[in-house]
Amino acid sequence: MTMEDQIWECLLNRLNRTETAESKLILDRWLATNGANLKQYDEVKLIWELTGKIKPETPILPFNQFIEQLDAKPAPVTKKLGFWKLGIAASLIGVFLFSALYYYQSKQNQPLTWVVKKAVAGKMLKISLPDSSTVWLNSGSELSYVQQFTQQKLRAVNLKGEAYFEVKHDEEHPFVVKAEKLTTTVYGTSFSVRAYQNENLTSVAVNSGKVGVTETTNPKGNQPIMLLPNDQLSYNKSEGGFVKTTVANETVNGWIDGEIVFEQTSVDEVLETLGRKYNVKIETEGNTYTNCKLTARFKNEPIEAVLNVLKLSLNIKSTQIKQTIYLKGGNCM
Amino acid sequence: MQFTAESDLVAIEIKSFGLNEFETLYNNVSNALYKYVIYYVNDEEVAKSIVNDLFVQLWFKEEQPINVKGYLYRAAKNASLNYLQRHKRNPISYLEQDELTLMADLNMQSSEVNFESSQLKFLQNLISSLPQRRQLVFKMHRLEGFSYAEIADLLQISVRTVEDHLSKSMQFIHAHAKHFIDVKLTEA
Repeated sequence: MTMEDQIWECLLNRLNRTETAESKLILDRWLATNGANLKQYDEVKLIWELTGKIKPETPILPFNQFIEQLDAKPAPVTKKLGFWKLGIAASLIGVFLFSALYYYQSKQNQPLTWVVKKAVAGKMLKISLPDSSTVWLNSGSELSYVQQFTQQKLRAVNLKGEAYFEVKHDEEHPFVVKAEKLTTTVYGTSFSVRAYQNENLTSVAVNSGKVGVTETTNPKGNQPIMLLPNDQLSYNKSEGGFVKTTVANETVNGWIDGEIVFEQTSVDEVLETLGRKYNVKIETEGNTYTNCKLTARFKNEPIEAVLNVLKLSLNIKSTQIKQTIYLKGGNCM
Repeated sequence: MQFTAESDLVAIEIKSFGLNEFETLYNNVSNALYKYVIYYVNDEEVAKSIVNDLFVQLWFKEEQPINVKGYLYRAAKNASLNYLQRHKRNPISYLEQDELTLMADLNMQSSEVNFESSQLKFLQNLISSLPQRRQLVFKMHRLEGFSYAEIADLLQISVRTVEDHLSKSMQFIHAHAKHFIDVKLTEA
């Protein structure tokens, strides 16, 4: 890469707001060299802003023509049928029924279509499943299930991240949540599963009813661990062990109402959660905060309030620039 | 701040499209999507029909995808790759022009480009004179708003290559658009 190319990339990083510390340093140094460079930067910035205003090109097929083809169904034909024609009609109906049956059977063998629902950072999602169970999906989480959900023996969903379930009771079709290494089986109850890929603990907590949990890799070999209301089961991914604790109801599903609860949570994990909840990027300048623990409870507070607690309790200072938060210091080393 | 009121937290119910909303989406996205499909299938008629099918499917979907644009581009990628597989073509055969082909009307006089609309027209012409692939990368980033990583994934190239295309695009546009920017700066 030539010097020139490098400068251009740094320049674009700044316009894009994807600048890294290194890129910033290179660009600032270049800008300080002479006035011509500064002028060039201003020009590029102006062009960049202008190009953002360019309107999309017109569609190849105009919208009215696109819509017409959707309505272009053949008009139904109605005619009086003669007696002999009824015979033909009857046999046609026979053929139709036969092919409908065939279609139905082939449809049963069709590959399953997956539906994926995703709650991006900063957003939560409430989903009604086809069996009328309800799922609250926390920020930065993803739920997937087959479209033919109600036609399966098991009502199975896959979860990445955190979700709270209110499951419609149905003894004949167990409801199964697969998340990280745990499989949770229920018939009708409400419970919460937390399984973020980048967190070491995967947990299941129950609000009402009864829930069975097994390790996904070994579903037959071990008996399911049964959980009752206010039980929480945590699975340690790195060490592979289970821990059962008792939790308050609001810890199970408080997050649905915008509550964030930290209980002796490492600050690294706190930062992960904040990033997801508030859709911010957190820059720690290489510091890790694993040794710092935080116990706090926030309900619908702006991120500033949370950062203020970090500052007061652990002396971690922060500066927010747009969607990025830069952290400094702290009594964690 | 992404959410303030409690009702916002769980209020994002999934809904189907209204006609006006769909029309806006169609007008904003279909042409860019068409160019994207051409990148893979290298055939205008095929691209037209793929894009048409995608919008028909979208219209009949019961639930609106959360990120409609992302959904459309991923669906377009799948449809294109499926098409290529069915037709046993070289999976990726792009139109590629190595050298820039400058159009005659690029050297407009600055007096003609004083208004922003004509400036935009001028920039648009410049962009469309970029090599096909570079142009696609530039538009996907600057006009469609995809990140470097998303573009790399959609076009099956590396992030480095995306960066390179963008930086080269801007170098080219800057070199040819400097003159009317000069006017604007001295006027200001």
